[in-house]
Amino acid sequence: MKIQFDNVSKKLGKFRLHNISFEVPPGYICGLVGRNGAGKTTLLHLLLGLYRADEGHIFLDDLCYEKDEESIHDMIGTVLVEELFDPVYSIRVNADRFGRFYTKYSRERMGECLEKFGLNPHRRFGRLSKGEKLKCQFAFALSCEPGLLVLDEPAGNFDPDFREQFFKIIQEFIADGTRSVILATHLTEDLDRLADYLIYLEEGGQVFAGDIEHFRSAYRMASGERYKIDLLPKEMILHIEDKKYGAKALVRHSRPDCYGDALDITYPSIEEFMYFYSKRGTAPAHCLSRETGERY
Amino acid sequence: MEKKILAADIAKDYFMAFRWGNVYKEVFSNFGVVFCMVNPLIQYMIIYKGAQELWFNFLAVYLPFVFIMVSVSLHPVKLHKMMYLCPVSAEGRMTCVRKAYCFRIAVQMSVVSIGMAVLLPAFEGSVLALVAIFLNDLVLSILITAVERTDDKAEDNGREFAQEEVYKALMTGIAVLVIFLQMMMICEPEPDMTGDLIILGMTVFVQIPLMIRYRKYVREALAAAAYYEKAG
Repeated sequence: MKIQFDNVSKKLGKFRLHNISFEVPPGYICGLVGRNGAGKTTLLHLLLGLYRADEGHIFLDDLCYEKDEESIHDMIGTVLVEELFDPVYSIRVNADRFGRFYTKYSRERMGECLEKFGLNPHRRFGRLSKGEKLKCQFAFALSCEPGLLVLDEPAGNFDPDFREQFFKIIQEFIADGTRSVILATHLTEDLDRLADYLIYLEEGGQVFAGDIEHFRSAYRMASGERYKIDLLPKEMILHIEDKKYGAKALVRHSRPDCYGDALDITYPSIEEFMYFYSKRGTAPAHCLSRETGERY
Repeated sequence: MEKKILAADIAKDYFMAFRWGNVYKEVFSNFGVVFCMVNPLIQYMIIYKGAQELWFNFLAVYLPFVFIMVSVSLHPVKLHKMMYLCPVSAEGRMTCVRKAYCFRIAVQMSVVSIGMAVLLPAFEGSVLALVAIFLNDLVLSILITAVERTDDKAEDNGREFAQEEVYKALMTGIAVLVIFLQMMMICEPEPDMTGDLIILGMTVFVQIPLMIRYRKYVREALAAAAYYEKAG
Protein backbone atom coordinates (compact mmCIF):
# COMPACT_ATOMS: atom_id res chain seq x y z
CA MET A 1 0.00 0.00 0.00
CA LYS A 2 1.30 3.42 -0.90
CA ILE A 3 1.21 6.10 1.79
CA GLN A 4 1.27 9.74 0.77
CA PHE A 5 1.31 12.78 3.03
CA ASP A 6 1.11 16.04 1.14
CA ASN A 7 2.03 19.12 3.19
CA VAL A 8 0.00 17.96 6.17
CA SER A 9 -0.36 20.09 9.28
CA LYS A 10 -2.30 19.49 12.46
CA LYS A 11 -2.67 21.55 15.60
CA LEU A 12 -3.46 19.83 18.90
CA GLY A 13 -3.60 22.21 21.81
CA LYS A 14 -0.19 23.84 22.02
CA PHE A 15 1.50 21.23 19.83
CA ARG A 16 1.65 21.60 16.09
CA LEU A 17 2.64 19.06 13.49
CA HIS A 18 3.57 21.07 10.43
CA ASN A 19 4.39 20.57 6.76
CA ILE A 20 4.73 16.81 6.76
CA SER A 21 5.30 15.48 3.26
CA PHE A 22 6.47 12.05 2.29
CA GLU A 23 5.58 9.16 0.05
CA VAL A 24 6.19 5.58 1.17
CA PRO A 25 6.04 3.16 -1.76
CA PRO A 26 4.34 -0.22 -1.37
CA GLY A 27 6.49 -3.05 -0.12
CA TYR A 28 8.50 -0.86 2.27
CA ILE A 29 9.12 -1.00 5.99
CA CYS A 30 9.01 2.60 7.13
CA GLY A 31 10.62 3.54 10.42
CA LEU A 32 9.17 6.52 12.26
CA VAL A 33 11.57 7.98 14.78
CA GLY A 34 11.85 11.03 16.94
CA ARG A 35 12.20 12.06 20.55
CA ASN A 36 9.31 11.94 22.98
CA GLY A 37 6.81 14.60 21.98
CA ALA A 38 8.15 14.88 18.43
CA GLY A 39 4.76 14.05 16.91
CA LYS A 40 5.06 10.36 16.06
CA THR A 41 1.77 9.35 17.64
CA THR A 42 0.01 12.36 16.13
CA LEU A 43 1.27 11.39 12.70
CA LEU A 44 0.08 7.83 13.22
CA HIS A 45 -3.32 9.07 14.38
CA LEU A 46 -3.57 11.11 11.19
CA LEU A 47 -2.58 8.06 9.17
CA LEU A 48 -5.23 5.99 10.93
CA GLY A 49 -7.94 8.57 10.33
CA LEU A 50 -8.43 9.23 14.04
CA TYR A 51 -7.50 12.85 13.42
CA ARG A 52 -8.21 14.89 10.32
CA ALA A 53 -5.50 17.14 8.97
CA ASP A 54 -6.01 20.89 9.32
CA GLU A 55 -4.07 21.43 6.11
CA GLY A 56 -2.81 19.18 3.36
CA HIS A 57 -3.92 15.77 2.14
CA ILE A 58 -3.39 12.18 3.11
CA PHE A 59 -3.71 9.41 0.55
CA LEU A 60 -3.47 5.69 1.04
CA ASP A 61 -3.36 3.85 -2.26
CA ASP A 62 -4.81 7.07 -3.75
CA LEU A 63 -7.83 6.85 -1.40
CA CYS A 64 -8.65 9.59 1.08
CA TYR A 65 -10.48 9.44 4.40
CA GLU A 66 -13.04 12.03 3.40
CA LYS A 67 -14.54 9.70 0.81
CA ASP A 68 -13.23 6.21 1.45
CA GLU A 69 -12.92 5.81 5.20
CA GLU A 70 -14.35 2.31 5.35
CA SER A 71 -12.22 0.99 2.50
CA ILE A 72 -9.06 2.44 4.01
CA HIS A 73 -9.76 1.06 7.47
CA ASP A 74 -10.43 -2.33 5.94
CA MET A 75 -6.86 -2.32 4.63
CA ILE A 76 -5.10 -1.30 7.84
CA GLY A 77 -4.01 -3.49 10.74
CA THR A 78 -3.07 -1.61 13.89
CA VAL A 79 -1.04 -2.24 17.01
CA LEU A 80 -0.98 0.74 19.37
CA VAL A 81 0.55 1.24 22.78
CA GLU A 82 -2.90 1.68 24.34
CA GLU A 83 -5.19 -1.30 24.59
CA LEU A 84 -7.56 -1.60 21.70
CA PHE A 85 -9.51 -4.58 22.97
CA ASP A 86 -12.10 -4.53 25.71
CA PRO A 87 -10.51 -5.85 28.93
CA VAL A 88 -13.76 -7.42 30.08
CA TYR A 89 -14.04 -9.95 27.27
CA SER A 90 -11.82 -12.82 26.21
CA ILE A 91 -9.39 -12.57 23.30
CA ARG A 92 -11.70 -14.68 21.15
CA VAL A 93 -14.80 -12.62 21.89
CA ASN A 94 -12.93 -9.38 21.24
CA ALA A 95 -11.52 -10.67 17.96
CA ASP A 96 -14.93 -11.85 16.76
CA ARG A 97 -16.64 -8.61 17.80
CA PHE A 98 -14.30 -6.37 15.86
CA GLY A 99 -13.30 -8.87 13.20
CA ARG A 100 -16.80 -9.01 11.78
CA PHE A 101 -16.32 -5.50 10.38
CA TYR A 102 -13.32 -6.55 8.30
CA THR A 103 -13.96 -8.19 4.94
CA LYS A 104 -10.87 -10.38 5.17
CA TYR A 105 -10.89 -11.28 8.86
CA SER A 106 -10.41 -15.00 9.41
CA ARG A 107 -11.16 -16.75 12.66
CA GLU A 108 -8.90 -19.63 11.68
CA ARG A 109 -5.99 -17.32 10.94
CA MET A 110 -6.53 -15.59 14.27
CA GLY A 111 -6.47 -18.94 16.01
CA GLU A 112 -3.25 -19.90 14.22
CA CYS A 113 -1.56 -16.63 15.17
CA LEU A 114 -2.62 -16.94 18.78
CA GLU A 115 -1.26 -20.45 18.94
CA LYS A 116 2.00 -19.34 17.33
CA PHE A 117 2.33 -16.53 19.87
CA GLY A 118 1.49 -18.80 22.78
CA LEU A 119 -1.80 -17.15 23.74
CA ASN A 120 -4.95 -18.85 24.99
CA PRO A 121 -7.93 -17.38 23.10
CA HIS A 122 -10.26 -17.87 26.06
CA ARG A 123 -8.25 -15.80 28.47
CA ARG A 124 -9.73 -12.46 29.45
CA PHE A 125 -7.92 -9.67 27.67
CA GLY A 126 -7.69 -7.60 30.84
CA ARG A 127 -5.74 -10.37 32.58
CA LEU A 128 -2.92 -10.46 30.01
CA SER A 129 0.46 -8.83 30.56
CA LYS A 130 1.41 -5.77 28.50
CA GLY A 131 3.49 -7.84 26.10
CA GLU A 132 0.74 -10.43 25.71
CA LYS A 133 -1.82 -7.74 24.93
CA LEU A 134 0.39 -6.38 22.19
CA LYS A 135 0.92 -9.89 20.80
CA CYS A 136 -2.84 -10.35 20.81
CA GLN A 137 -3.39 -7.09 18.92
CA PHE A 138 -0.66 -8.06 16.49
CA ALA A 139 -2.34 -11.42 15.90
CA PHE A 140 -5.64 -9.67 15.23
CA ALA A 141 -4.02 -7.19 12.87
CA LEU A 142 -2.47 -10.04 10.87
CA SER A 143 -5.69 -12.04 10.79
CA CYS A 144 -7.45 -9.18 8.96
CA GLU A 145 -4.99 -9.50 6.04
CA PRO A 146 -4.23 -5.80 5.85
CA GLY A 147 -2.36 -3.98 3.14
CA LEU A 148 -0.71 -1.77 5.77
CA LEU A 149 0.46 -2.55 9.28
CA VAL A 150 0.69 0.42 11.61
CA LEU A 151 2.75 -0.39 14.69
CA ASP A 152 3.32 2.09 17.48
CA GLU A 153 6.27 1.01 19.63
CA PRO A 154 5.34 -2.62 20.06
CA ALA A 155 8.78 -4.23 20.17
CA GLY A 156 9.90 -2.69 23.46
CA ASN A 157 7.45 -4.89 25.34
CA PHE A 158 8.30 -8.15 23.63
CA ASP A 159 10.68 -10.71 25.06
CA PRO A 160 13.86 -11.26 22.97
CA ASP A 161 12.57 -14.53 21.46
CA PHE A 162 9.35 -13.01 20.29
CA ARG A 163 11.10 -9.90 19.02
CA GLU A 164 13.02 -12.00 16.54
CA GLN A 165 9.80 -13.75 15.54
CA PHE A 166 8.07 -10.38 15.22
CA PHE A 167 10.68 -8.95 12.86
CA LYS A 168 10.67 -12.15 10.80
CA ILE A 169 6.88 -11.86 10.42
CA ILE A 170 7.23 -8.21 9.37
CA GLN A 171 9.74 -9.12 6.70
CA GLU A 172 7.53 -11.93 5.43
CA PHE A 173 4.58 -9.55 5.43
CA ILE A 174 6.16 -7.19 2.91
CA ALA A 175 7.78 -9.91 0.87
CA ASP A 176 5.18 -9.77 -1.92
CA GLY A 177 6.00 -6.11 -2.58
CA THR A 178 2.43 -4.82 -2.28
CA ARG A 179 2.06 -4.44 1.47
CA SER A 180 3.74 -1.91 3.73
CA VAL A 181 4.61 -1.49 7.39
CA ILE A 182 5.03 1.71 9.32
CA LEU A 183 6.80 1.20 12.63
CA ALA A 184 7.22 3.89 15.24
CA THR A 185 9.95 2.90 17.64
CA HIS A 186 12.75 4.07 19.90
CA LEU A 187 14.67 0.86 19.23
CA THR A 188 16.61 2.29 16.32
CA GLU A 189 19.00 -0.65 16.07
CA ASP A 190 16.06 -2.70 14.81
CA LEU A 191 15.31 -0.12 12.15
CA ASP A 192 18.94 -0.08 11.09
CA ARG A 193 18.63 -3.64 9.94
CA LEU A 194 15.00 -3.66 8.79
CA ALA A 195 13.78 -0.32 7.55
CA ASP A 196 13.75 0.72 3.92
CA TYR A 197 12.28 4.14 4.55
CA LEU A 198 12.86 6.57 7.38
CA ILE A 199 10.82 9.44 8.74
CA TYR A 200 12.50 11.49 11.45
CA LEU A 201 10.39 14.03 13.31
CA GLU A 202 11.55 16.74 15.67
CA GLU A 203 9.25 19.14 17.55
CA GLY A 204 6.39 18.59 15.12
CA GLY A 205 8.54 19.15 12.06
CA GLN A 206 9.94 16.77 9.51
CA VAL A 207 13.71 16.52 9.67
CA PHE A 208 14.09 13.74 7.17
CA ALA A 209 11.75 11.58 5.12
CA GLY A 210 13.08 9.30 2.46
CA ASP A 211 14.66 6.10 1.39
CA ILE A 212 17.12 4.87 3.99
CA GLU A 213 19.78 4.50 1.32
CA HIS A 214 19.37 8.17 0.53
CA PHE A 215 19.70 8.96 4.23
CA ARG A 216 22.86 6.89 4.43
CA SER A 217 24.27 8.43 1.30
CA ALA A 218 23.62 11.97 2.57
CA TYR A 219 25.40 11.76 5.93
CA ARG A 220 28.54 10.28 7.45
CA MET A 221 30.13 9.94 10.87
CA ALA A 222 33.69 11.26 10.91
CA SER A 223 35.92 10.08 13.74
CA GLY A 224 39.49 11.08 14.46
CA GLU A 225 41.59 13.89 15.86
CA ARG A 226 39.63 17.00 16.66
CA TYR A 227 41.82 19.35 14.69
CA LYS A 228 41.46 17.19 11.59
CA ILE A 229 37.66 17.28 11.81
CA ASP A 230 37.90 21.05 12.24
CA LEU A 231 39.66 21.20 8.88
CA LEU A 232 36.50 20.05 7.12
CA PRO A 233 34.36 22.81 5.53
CA LYS A 234 32.12 24.35 8.18
CA GLU A 235 28.94 23.84 6.16
CA MET A 236 29.55 20.08 6.19
CA ILE A 237 29.73 19.72 9.96
CA LEU A 238 26.43 19.40 11.82
CA HIS A 239 27.78 18.66 15.28
CA ILE A 240 31.06 17.58 16.84
CA GLU A 241 31.57 15.79 20.10
CA ASP A 242 34.88 15.32 21.81
CA LYS A 243 35.50 11.85 23.10
CA LYS A 244 38.26 10.66 25.39
CA TYR A 245 40.41 9.70 22.44
CA GLY A 246 39.63 12.06 19.60
CA ALA A 247 36.34 13.47 18.38
CA LYS A 248 33.28 12.37 16.44
CA ALA A 249 31.15 14.44 14.10
CA LEU A 250 28.06 14.09 11.98
CA VAL A 251 28.81 15.54 8.57
CA ARG A 252 26.93 16.09 5.33
CA HIS A 253 28.46 13.89 2.69
CA SER A 254 28.57 16.71 0.17
CA ARG A 255 32.32 16.75 -0.45
CA PRO A 256 33.83 13.30 0.07
CA ASP A 257 37.17 14.49 -1.28
CA CYS A 258 37.68 16.54 1.90
CA TYR A 259 38.02 13.64 4.31
CA GLY A 260 41.57 12.60 3.65
CA ASP A 261 43.10 9.46 5.15
CA ALA A 262 43.30 10.61 8.75
CA LEU A 263 39.59 10.44 9.50
CA ASP A 264 37.59 7.28 9.99
CA ILE A 265 34.40 7.68 7.93
CA THR A 266 31.43 5.43 8.62
CA TYR A 267 27.71 5.37 7.93
CA PRO A 268 25.77 6.81 10.84
CA SER A 269 23.34 4.57 12.63
CA ILE A 270 19.86 6.02 13.02
CA GLU A 271 20.53 6.55 16.72
CA GLU A 272 23.76 8.42 16.03
CA PHE A 273 22.06 10.50 13.40
CA MET A 274 19.20 11.41 15.73
CA TYR A 275 21.56 12.26 18.58
CA PHE A 276 23.97 14.38 16.59
CA TYR A 277 21.34 16.00 14.40
CA SER A 278 19.33 17.10 17.41
CA LYS A 279 22.44 18.86 18.72
CA ARG A 280 23.26 20.75 15.52
CA GLY A 281 23.80 24.42 16.06
CA THR A 282 24.79 23.93 19.71
CA ALA A 283 28.32 24.39 21.02
CA PRO A 284 30.57 21.38 20.49
CA ALA A 285 30.29 18.98 23.38
CA HIS A 286 33.25 18.02 25.53
CA CYS A 287 33.77 15.06 27.77
CA LEU A 288 34.79 15.45 31.42
CA SER A 289 37.40 13.26 33.02
CA ARG A 290 35.87 11.04 35.65
CA GLU A 291 38.93 11.27 37.87
CA THR A 292 39.70 14.97 37.76
CA GLY A 293 36.54 16.55 36.39
CA GLU A 294 38.62 18.39 33.85
CA ARG A 295 37.53 18.93 30.29
CA TYR A 296 39.40 17.22 27.51
CA MET B 1 -22.15 -2.41 8.00
CA GLU B 2 -24.85 -1.11 10.35
CA LYS B 3 -26.30 -4.62 10.62
CA LYS B 4 -23.01 -5.80 12.05
CA ILE B 5 -23.41 -3.52 15.06
CA LEU B 6 -25.47 -6.03 16.96
CA ALA B 7 -28.07 -5.12 19.53
CA ALA B 8 -26.69 -7.95 21.65
CA ASP B 9 -23.28 -6.22 21.72
CA ILE B 10 -24.86 -2.94 22.78
CA ALA B 11 -26.75 -4.65 25.60
CA LYS B 12 -23.68 -6.65 26.67
CA ASP B 13 -21.51 -3.53 26.75
CA TYR B 14 -24.13 -1.73 28.84
CA PHE B 15 -24.33 -4.38 31.53
CA MET B 16 -20.61 -5.22 31.52
CA ALA B 17 -19.87 -1.62 32.55
CA PHE B 18 -21.31 -2.34 35.99
CA ARG B 19 -18.06 -3.52 37.56
CA TRP B 20 -16.80 -2.45 40.95
CA GLY B 21 -13.61 -0.99 39.51
CA ASN B 22 -15.61 1.13 37.09
CA VAL B 23 -18.14 2.16 39.72
CA TYR B 24 -15.38 3.31 42.04
CA LYS B 25 -13.56 5.17 39.29
CA GLU B 26 -16.56 6.88 37.66
CA VAL B 27 -19.02 7.24 40.51
CA PHE B 28 -17.49 7.25 43.97
CA SER B 29 -14.54 9.39 42.97
CA ASN B 30 -16.91 12.02 41.52
CA PHE B 31 -17.94 14.32 44.36
CA GLY B 32 -20.91 15.81 42.50
CA VAL B 33 -22.49 12.43 41.81
CA VAL B 34 -21.90 11.18 45.34
CA PHE B 35 -23.37 14.39 46.78
CA CYS B 36 -26.54 14.05 44.69
CA MET B 37 -26.94 10.39 45.63
CA VAL B 38 -26.33 10.80 49.32
CA ASN B 39 -28.58 13.85 49.77
CA PRO B 40 -31.95 12.04 49.81
CA LEU B 41 -30.51 9.39 52.13
CA ILE B 42 -29.36 12.03 54.60
CA GLN B 43 -32.75 13.69 54.33
CA TYR B 44 -34.50 10.43 55.12
CA MET B 45 -32.23 9.64 58.05
CA ILE B 46 -32.38 13.12 59.57
CA ILE B 47 -35.93 14.31 58.90
CA TYR B 48 -37.71 10.98 59.13
CA LYS B 49 -35.22 9.40 61.51
CA GLY B 50 -34.93 6.41 59.15
CA ALA B 51 -38.50 5.45 60.04
CA GLN B 52 -39.01 1.78 59.31
CA GLU B 53 -42.60 2.11 58.17
CA LEU B 54 -41.48 4.54 55.45
CA TRP B 55 -38.42 2.73 54.21
CA PHE B 56 -40.38 0.78 51.59
CA ASN B 57 -41.72 3.92 49.94
CA PHE B 58 -38.35 5.59 50.26
CA LEU B 59 -36.43 2.75 48.62
CA ALA B 60 -38.97 2.42 45.81
CA VAL B 61 -38.11 5.99 44.78
CA TYR B 62 -34.52 6.26 45.98
CA LEU B 63 -33.04 3.11 44.44
CA PRO B 64 -34.10 3.88 40.86
CA PHE B 65 -32.69 7.39 41.33
CA VAL B 66 -29.34 5.95 42.47
CA PHE B 67 -29.39 3.49 39.59
CA ILE B 68 -29.87 6.33 37.10
CA MET B 69 -27.00 8.35 38.58
CA VAL B 70 -24.68 5.32 38.46
CA SER B 71 -25.81 4.31 34.97
CA VAL B 72 -25.31 7.81 33.53
CA SER B 73 -21.85 8.01 35.10
CA LEU B 74 -20.76 4.61 33.79
CA HIS B 75 -21.90 5.17 30.20
CA PRO B 76 -20.36 8.19 28.52
CA VAL B 77 -21.44 8.90 24.98
CA LYS B 78 -18.34 7.50 23.37
CA LEU B 79 -17.30 4.39 21.49
CA HIS B 80 -14.44 2.03 22.21
CA LYS B 81 -11.29 3.24 20.44
CA MET B 82 -11.20 0.13 18.28
CA MET B 83 -14.54 1.13 16.74
CA TYR B 84 -12.89 4.23 15.29
CA LEU B 85 -10.27 2.01 13.62
CA CYS B 86 -12.66 -0.62 12.26
CA PRO B 87 -14.12 -0.29 8.76
CA VAL B 88 -17.32 1.40 9.92
CA SER B 89 -18.68 4.58 8.40
CA ALA B 90 -19.30 7.69 10.46
CA GLU B 91 -23.04 7.06 10.03
CA GLY B 92 -22.58 3.53 11.32
CA ARG B 93 -20.77 4.78 14.41
CA MET B 94 -23.42 7.42 14.98
CA THR B 95 -26.10 4.72 14.80
CA CYS B 96 -24.18 2.66 17.32
CA VAL B 97 -23.82 5.61 19.69
CA ARG B 98 -27.48 6.55 19.34
CA LYS B 99 -28.64 2.98 19.97
CA ALA B 100 -26.44 2.69 23.03
CA TYR B 101 -27.79 5.99 24.38
CA CYS B 102 -31.43 5.01 23.80
CA PHE B 103 -30.83 1.59 25.30
CA ARG B 104 -29.36 3.20 28.40
CA ILE B 105 -32.41 5.46 28.80
CA ALA B 106 -34.77 2.53 28.21
CA VAL B 107 -33.11 0.42 30.90
CA GLN B 108 -33.08 3.32 33.35
CA MET B 109 -36.74 4.14 32.82
CA SER B 110 -37.63 0.46 33.08
CA VAL B 111 -36.02 0.37 36.50
CA VAL B 112 -37.97 3.50 37.44
CA SER B 113 -41.19 1.88 36.24
CA ILE B 114 -40.45 -1.23 38.31
CA GLY B 115 -39.85 1.00 41.31
CA MET B 116 -43.15 2.73 40.78
CA ALA B 117 -44.98 -0.52 40.25
CA VAL B 118 -43.56 -1.73 43.55
CA LEU B 119 -44.52 1.55 45.24
CA LEU B 120 -48.06 1.71 43.86
CA PRO B 121 -49.89 -0.71 46.15
CA ALA B 122 -48.51 0.95 49.30
CA PHE B 123 -48.66 4.49 47.99
CA GLU B 124 -51.29 6.76 49.48
CA GLY B 125 -50.39 9.91 47.54
CA SER B 126 -51.83 11.16 44.28
CA VAL B 127 -51.12 10.09 40.74
CA LEU B 128 -49.56 13.53 40.16
CA ALA B 129 -46.74 12.66 42.53
CA LEU B 130 -46.02 9.48 40.59
CA VAL B 131 -46.04 11.38 37.30
CA ALA B 132 -43.63 13.92 38.78
CA ILE B 133 -41.30 11.17 39.97
CA PHE B 134 -41.36 9.56 36.52
CA LEU B 135 -40.68 12.83 34.70
CA ASN B 136 -37.94 13.83 37.13
CA ASP B 137 -36.15 10.54 36.56
CA LEU B 138 -36.56 10.97 32.80
CA VAL B 139 -34.83 14.34 33.01
CA LEU B 140 -31.93 12.77 34.85
CA SER B 141 -31.82 9.84 32.42
CA ILE B 142 -31.04 11.94 29.39
CA LEU B 143 -28.00 13.56 30.97
CA ILE B 144 -24.65 12.94 29.38
CA THR B 145 -21.50 12.84 31.48
CA ALA B 146 -18.96 15.55 30.87
CA VAL B 147 -16.72 14.32 28.13
CA GLU B 148 -13.02 15.15 28.47
CA ARG B 149 -12.57 18.37 26.64
CA THR B 150 -9.35 19.09 24.87
CA ASP B 151 -7.74 22.46 25.27
CA ASP B 152 -8.88 23.19 21.71
CA LYS B 153 -12.55 22.72 22.44
CA ALA B 154 -12.51 24.76 25.61
CA GLU B 155 -10.53 27.42 23.79
CA ASP B 156 -12.55 27.52 20.59
CA ASN B 157 -16.03 27.01 21.97
CA GLY B 158 -15.55 28.21 25.51
CA ARG B 159 -18.87 29.99 25.68
CA GLU B 160 -20.87 27.07 24.32
CA PHE B 161 -18.99 24.63 26.52
CA ALA B 162 -19.74 26.76 29.58
CA GLN B 163 -23.41 27.05 28.59
CA GLU B 164 -23.71 23.28 28.28
CA GLU B 165 -22.18 22.78 31.71
CA VAL B 166 -24.54 25.37 33.19
CA TYR B 167 -27.58 23.60 31.72
CA LYS B 168 -26.36 20.28 33.04
CA ALA B 169 -25.70 21.72 36.52
CA LEU B 170 -29.15 23.37 36.55
CA MET B 171 -30.90 20.19 35.49
CA THR B 172 -29.06 18.10 38.06
CA GLY B 173 -29.55 20.64 40.82
CA ILE B 174 -33.25 21.04 40.17
CA ALA B 175 -33.69 17.26 39.89
CA VAL B 176 -32.06 16.81 43.29
CA LEU B 177 -34.31 19.52 44.74
CA VAL B 178 -37.35 17.83 43.24
CA ILE B 179 -36.21 14.51 44.71
CA PHE B 180 -35.98 16.24 48.07
CA LEU B 181 -39.58 17.46 47.74
CA GLN B 182 -40.72 14.11 46.40
CA MET B 183 -39.24 12.37 49.45
CA MET B 184 -41.39 14.62 51.57
CA MET B 185 -44.46 13.69 49.56
CA ILE B 186 -43.62 10.00 49.64
CA CYS B 187 -42.83 9.91 53.32
CA GLU B 188 -45.60 12.17 54.67
CA PRO B 189 -48.47 10.21 56.23
CA GLU B 190 -51.14 12.44 54.68
CA PRO B 191 -51.28 13.05 50.92
CA ASP B 192 -50.76 16.72 50.07
CA MET B 193 -52.28 17.86 46.79
CA THR B 194 -50.62 21.28 47.03
CA GLY B 195 -47.19 19.75 47.42
CA ASP B 196 -47.84 17.40 44.51
CA LEU B 197 -48.91 20.31 42.31
CA ILE B 198 -45.83 22.32 43.24
CA ILE B 199 -43.55 19.44 42.35
CA LEU B 200 -45.41 18.73 39.13
CA GLY B 201 -45.32 22.43 38.27
CA MET B 202 -41.55 22.54 38.76
CA THR B 203 -41.18 19.48 36.60
CA VAL B 204 -43.43 20.72 33.78
CA PHE B 205 -42.49 24.40 33.75
CA VAL B 206 -38.80 24.23 34.67
CA GLN B 207 -37.39 20.79 34.11
CA ILE B 208 -39.13 19.91 30.84
CA PRO B 209 -38.13 23.20 29.12
CA LEU B 210 -34.56 22.68 30.35
CA MET B 211 -34.69 19.15 29.00
CA ILE B 212 -35.91 20.40 25.61
CA ARG B 213 -33.11 22.97 25.52
CA TYR B 214 -30.58 20.31 26.59
CA ARG B 215 -31.67 18.16 23.63
CA LYS B 216 -29.44 20.29 21.39
CA TYR B 217 -26.36 19.30 23.40
CA VAL B 218 -27.37 15.67 23.35
CA ARG B 219 -27.68 15.77 19.55
CA GLU B 220 -24.28 17.43 19.26
CA ALA B 221 -22.65 14.96 21.64
CA LEU B 222 -24.10 12.00 19.76
CA ALA B 223 -22.93 13.40 16.43
CA ALA B 224 -19.48 14.21 17.83
CA ALA B 225 -19.09 10.71 19.24
CA ALA B 226 -18.96 9.37 15.69
CA TYR B 227 -15.51 10.97 15.32
CA TYR B 228 -12.61 10.04 17.56
CA GLU B 229 -11.18 13.52 17.64
CA LYS B 230 -14.46 15.13 18.70
CA ALA B 231 -15.55 12.37 21.07
CA GLY B 232 -12.99 13.37 23.65
